[in-house]
Amino acid sequence: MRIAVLIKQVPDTDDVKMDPERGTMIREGAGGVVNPLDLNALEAAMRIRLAGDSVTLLSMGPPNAEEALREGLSFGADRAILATDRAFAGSDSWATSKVLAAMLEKIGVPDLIIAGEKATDGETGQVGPEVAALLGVPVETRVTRLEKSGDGIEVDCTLEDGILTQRVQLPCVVTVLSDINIPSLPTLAGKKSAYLKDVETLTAESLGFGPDEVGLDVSPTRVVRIDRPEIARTAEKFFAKHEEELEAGLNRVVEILSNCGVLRGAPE
Amino acid sequence: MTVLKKPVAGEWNSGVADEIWVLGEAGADGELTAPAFELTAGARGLADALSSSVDRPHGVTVVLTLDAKTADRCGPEKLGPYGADRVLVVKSESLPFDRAACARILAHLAGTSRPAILIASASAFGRSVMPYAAALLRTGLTADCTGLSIEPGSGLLLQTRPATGGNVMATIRTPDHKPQMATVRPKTFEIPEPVTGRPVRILTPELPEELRKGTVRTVKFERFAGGEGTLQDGEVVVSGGRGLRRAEGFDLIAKLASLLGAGVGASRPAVEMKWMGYPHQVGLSGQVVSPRVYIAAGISGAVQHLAGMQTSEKIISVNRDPDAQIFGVSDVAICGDLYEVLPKLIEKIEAKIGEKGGRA
Repeated sequence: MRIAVLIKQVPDTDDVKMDPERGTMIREGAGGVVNPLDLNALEAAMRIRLAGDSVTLLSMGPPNAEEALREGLSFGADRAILATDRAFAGSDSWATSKVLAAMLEKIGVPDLIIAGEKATDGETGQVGPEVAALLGVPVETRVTRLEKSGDGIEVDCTLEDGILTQRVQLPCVVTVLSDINIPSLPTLAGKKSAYLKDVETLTAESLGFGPDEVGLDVSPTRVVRIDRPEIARTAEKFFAKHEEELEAGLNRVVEILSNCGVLRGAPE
Repeated sequence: MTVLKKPVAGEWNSGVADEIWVLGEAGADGELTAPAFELTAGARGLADALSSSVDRPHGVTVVLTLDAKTADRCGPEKLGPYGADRVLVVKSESLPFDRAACARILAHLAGTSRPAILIASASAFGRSVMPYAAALLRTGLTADCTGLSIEPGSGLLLQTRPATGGNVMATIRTPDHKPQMATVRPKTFEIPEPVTGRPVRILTPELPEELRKGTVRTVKFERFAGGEGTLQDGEVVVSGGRGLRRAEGFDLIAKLASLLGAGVGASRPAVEMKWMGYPHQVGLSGQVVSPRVYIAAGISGAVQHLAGMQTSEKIISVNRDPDAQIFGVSDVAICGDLYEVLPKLIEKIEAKIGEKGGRA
């Protein structure tokens, strides 16, 4: 079985500081990391692979996204390919999916394509299903269990109100949630071998795209305005060690809840 | 299986129907879900705005892709009083869980009828089917919108969504592609008073049989047992974090939540320690919530969490650390041990409900 994992490099949100005035993330200085859910996707790939199966990592991003792919390689993936080109700048989820789908076709559509359900920066969660649509294969999203079953796979998808178990034929795209596994740590041997491997690169041209067929130009969605809603609040602070302060604080909470009309009693 | 390299930009603009479409959804019991009504009403509002903007009447069509086994319980005519002019009902054994089949059907219907706008709930269903359909239709899709309106003059759909972690609101347009597609968060639109007597047509479109055929087989669907509550249900969300110190701490969170009819949330560390399931995770890597009141207990306020709840109307936090970052985004901050504070709060709320004659 040939397996592909889609990887995105995102700003490290554990590292990132908040601008207290504007309520925005300060991205400068924050390191780039593999999108956390993509590590779950990679772990899922390493767990389902059998001897003879290959795992290829694919990413679209700036040249330094190579680091994210190299990190992925250190978990034991066989091959990593980065599509990087100035022409890709400003891609929305559709334009990104177009490039990823073209990459997958170029290497020959793998049997199983695994991705994180969404990235911590863009948060659209759309790339997985869009890639599946462009390849004409089924998609399973929010997957929290992934196993082989006959010629295909069996998955559990954690929906809002329950768990859906499905069997799907391959090829198929699967997007995973963090519940699926706990990613292992890269081994020293893995790290060493990752640095001996090349991260292959592809450009718009080598994928067969003209300059006007990728990036912002073909992105159907356009951001027209950014607003920063006022979020800074000055908390009324109450210290529970002083009984009267705790009392006042609790009364304030009850007042807020009461104003919202939620103190009607619970249904039985 | 070819990737179409050129989007059909502008191609549709000559033949766009004066229609706004909604992809509705039924629950496991076959009944229409609340977002189907919210979005029907929302689409009605957009259609009316668009009608006056371009001076042509616009209609509202709801598409339902239903499980043939429970479809009889759905009652599509119920959408009429909320603003639907037509409901297109598609039934099949493989629906709605074969997301690709739903998307192919939706894209086929929308590709034939050419609505100007197509919206769906930002649910697990909508967030799978809509991007798949958008890619088939080669158009844009904006995820997780919290506001939709019609731009005066252009008549384009303005799609507002929280971006970069919920602290920036981005307004997005799809200027040259149709339909303009968006998934919409629950409760973005209110369900209005029904208008009785509005005519609504229920139609069963004819479809090429191969559209229904999928490569996905549903083995089973197991609903979560009740009691725990879901995250986005209520006007209030009560969340717990690492400060609970043990899984059983969530019993206290659940007790407070059930008193308030609130959703139960959790921070990422609490989910990572398996104290709560992932569907309850609030934050960048989980759900972004914006209830009227958010209560955070034992949550220090990592950026990744703050980004998921800071647009809540009122924020109340309980934490032992007087310098906890969560206090910086709170309206009321109680510095103390949550195991001391929460039981007293529960007591007070119970007293208050009793005093109002509610059922405590």
